[in-house]
Amino acid sequence: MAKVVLGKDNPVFPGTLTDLQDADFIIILGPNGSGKTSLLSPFRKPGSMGRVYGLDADHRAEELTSSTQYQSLAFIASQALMEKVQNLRDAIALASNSPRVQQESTVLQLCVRQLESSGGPQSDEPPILRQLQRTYLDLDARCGGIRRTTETYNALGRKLASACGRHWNGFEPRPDLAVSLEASLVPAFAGVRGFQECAVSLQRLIGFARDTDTFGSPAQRLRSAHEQLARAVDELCTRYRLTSAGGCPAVVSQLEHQKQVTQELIDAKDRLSACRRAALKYLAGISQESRAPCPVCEQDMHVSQVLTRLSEQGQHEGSGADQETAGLRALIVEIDRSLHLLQSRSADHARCLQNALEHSEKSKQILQSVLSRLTPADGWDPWFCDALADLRVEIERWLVAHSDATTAEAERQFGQIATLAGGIDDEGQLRERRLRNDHEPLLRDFDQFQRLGCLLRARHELNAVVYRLDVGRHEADLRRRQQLARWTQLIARMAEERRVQAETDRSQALDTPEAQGAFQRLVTRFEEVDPWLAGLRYDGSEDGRKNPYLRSVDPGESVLKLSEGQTVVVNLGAALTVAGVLARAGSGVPWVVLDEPTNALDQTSSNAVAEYLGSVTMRELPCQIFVSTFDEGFAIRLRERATRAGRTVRLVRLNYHERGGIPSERRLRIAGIETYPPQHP
Amino acid sequence: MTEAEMIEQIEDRLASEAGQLCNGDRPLAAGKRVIDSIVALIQETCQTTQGESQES
Repeated sequence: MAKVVLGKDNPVFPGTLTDLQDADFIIILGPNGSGKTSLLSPFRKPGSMGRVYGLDADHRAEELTSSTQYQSLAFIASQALMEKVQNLRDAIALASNSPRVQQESTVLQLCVRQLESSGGPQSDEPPILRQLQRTYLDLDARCGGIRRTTETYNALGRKLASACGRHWNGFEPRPDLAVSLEASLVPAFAGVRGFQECAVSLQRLIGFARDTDTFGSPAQRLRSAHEQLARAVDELCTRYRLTSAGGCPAVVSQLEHQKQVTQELIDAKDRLSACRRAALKYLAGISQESRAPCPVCEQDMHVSQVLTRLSEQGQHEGSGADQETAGLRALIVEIDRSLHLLQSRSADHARCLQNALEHSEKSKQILQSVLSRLTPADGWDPWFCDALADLRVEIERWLVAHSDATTAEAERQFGQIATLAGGIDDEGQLRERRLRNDHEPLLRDFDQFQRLGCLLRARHELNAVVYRLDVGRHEADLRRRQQLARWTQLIARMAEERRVQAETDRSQALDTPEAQGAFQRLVTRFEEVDPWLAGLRYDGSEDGRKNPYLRSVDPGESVLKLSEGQTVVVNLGAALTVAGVLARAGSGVPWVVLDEPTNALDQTSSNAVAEYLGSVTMRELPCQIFVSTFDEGFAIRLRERATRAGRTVRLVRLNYHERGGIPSERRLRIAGIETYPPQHP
Repeated sequence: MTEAEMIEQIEDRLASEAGQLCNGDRPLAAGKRVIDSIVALIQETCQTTQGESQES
């Protein structure tokens, strides 16, 4: 072994111990805390703590720790040396690690049993399950006093389906089916079938009749106008001695003729007066004694007489003529008034006639429209169909009977039809109100149905989720169990490997005559240390005796009762024996490391260990020996004994290392290296 | 956790009680501590991985 290189995880990193190939006994001397154990830790567990290198044939560095077997056997801690033994076989067995490995195997087997009996870990309830449970409980609360069972749900469904004229197929709590059933069973409003389709037509018919009543009958207005016109004609005929034949136009014609005659009379009178005035003027110009024919009666008389007569007549006629003329003029005014009255009455009559004709036409249109719309269809309510049939008969009869609808009779019969339609409308609305009242419980039932459906669906989903979660949990548990099984198999394999290793160690270190002989020879060397120990004999046979491995000088002593120092010496002998056997067997143990072998020993025991350890020759232990100690006396004694035994000793002194110091100062501090050549007697 | 890491963990726990395991005075107590420690390690590993680790 040539050098030790510390790794980054080593407490005294960085640090290197080199040029070790020239020494075969290396003593690491330093106070506690100087890093002795840390410096030797790469021997025990190479890696981040550091690595150990040797030199190959070409003097190149070659890592030894990566390929070295039995490292645990080559690293002997002080604690291991303190372990109690009952006999020498125990000691060598302990040195071979077989009891510890066997114990570890037993512990691992117990681990396997405990893991197999503990079962798999339990999975937690996932949040989604709790969320669905809350939803279910909320819905459950909303359902109030309804018994929440599928049978209840089906009972409600049957009732509702019957009321809606549908068939209830039953409910299986499958969410998609539940949704479709609920959608199809919404209780639509159930009225008088066909009534709503005809309601507008009926209302139009009723409204038209109501308007006729409100604003007056056109037929009555026409009749009134006709009567007023007739009365006017009769009155004028009586007044003016006219004939009523020919009606109003004839009367008007007669009145106009009479007016014309009267006007002509007035004109004649006017012309007569003008003639008289001309005659008087003429006669006044001739002799009043002469005779002259009267211009009127053509009798021959004296002009004076004629003048007198004309004058008298003229005076008489003048006053009378004025009165008559005034009468005639008044007559004309009266005739004009009569004509105006007659024309006014005639115009009223014509307007009323026009209104009556329009009303009649509209009545016909409404009835014909209603008749076409009030045709019963399949599925309409029977009562409504019967009522419509009666109404249709009346309408058809009216249309046939009243082509001229201006009569009051037509209007009266129209009113009867409207009354009949109103009765149908009232009855229809009454029936629909009843149905609407009956519909309210259906809606309440449906609300319950909905809530119950939601509840059952939630419960079903909850159950489904629970099932899925169970499956998921089962699968997760299965995976966990599989992993647990893998770890258990790993532990079982480790236990078996240790059992085999323990047997191998025992067979190599304990049950070989070479090891037994070497140990016996080492025990014999205890003479210089402890004569009593030197008297012990190793007996490796297993013949069924209580303590087959022990044969002390005292045959009655079956169990060794060793002091701590004796224990360390015996264990040390056993450890060196095992290491020597392995080293000689070429098992790849190029060194033996003893970490603080004198811990807890008194000075006498420490001296004994130094004497014994230092006396081990290269033939007995053909490998490098590393010993760490805080005891300088022990180190010197060991160095002197080892050099006398033919070993080249190197003493490495370490300074105190402050563990809690500044990180940059945490490093291996080598105070000095001393080399001591072998002393050959 | 790989198998190598698990082996290292188990060996660390064994090493923590290595001296006591072979001590004639307290092997059972040391063994029980090691067993409890290893069983807890295994169960914790299985629990934290939710059984989904499929390590070889």
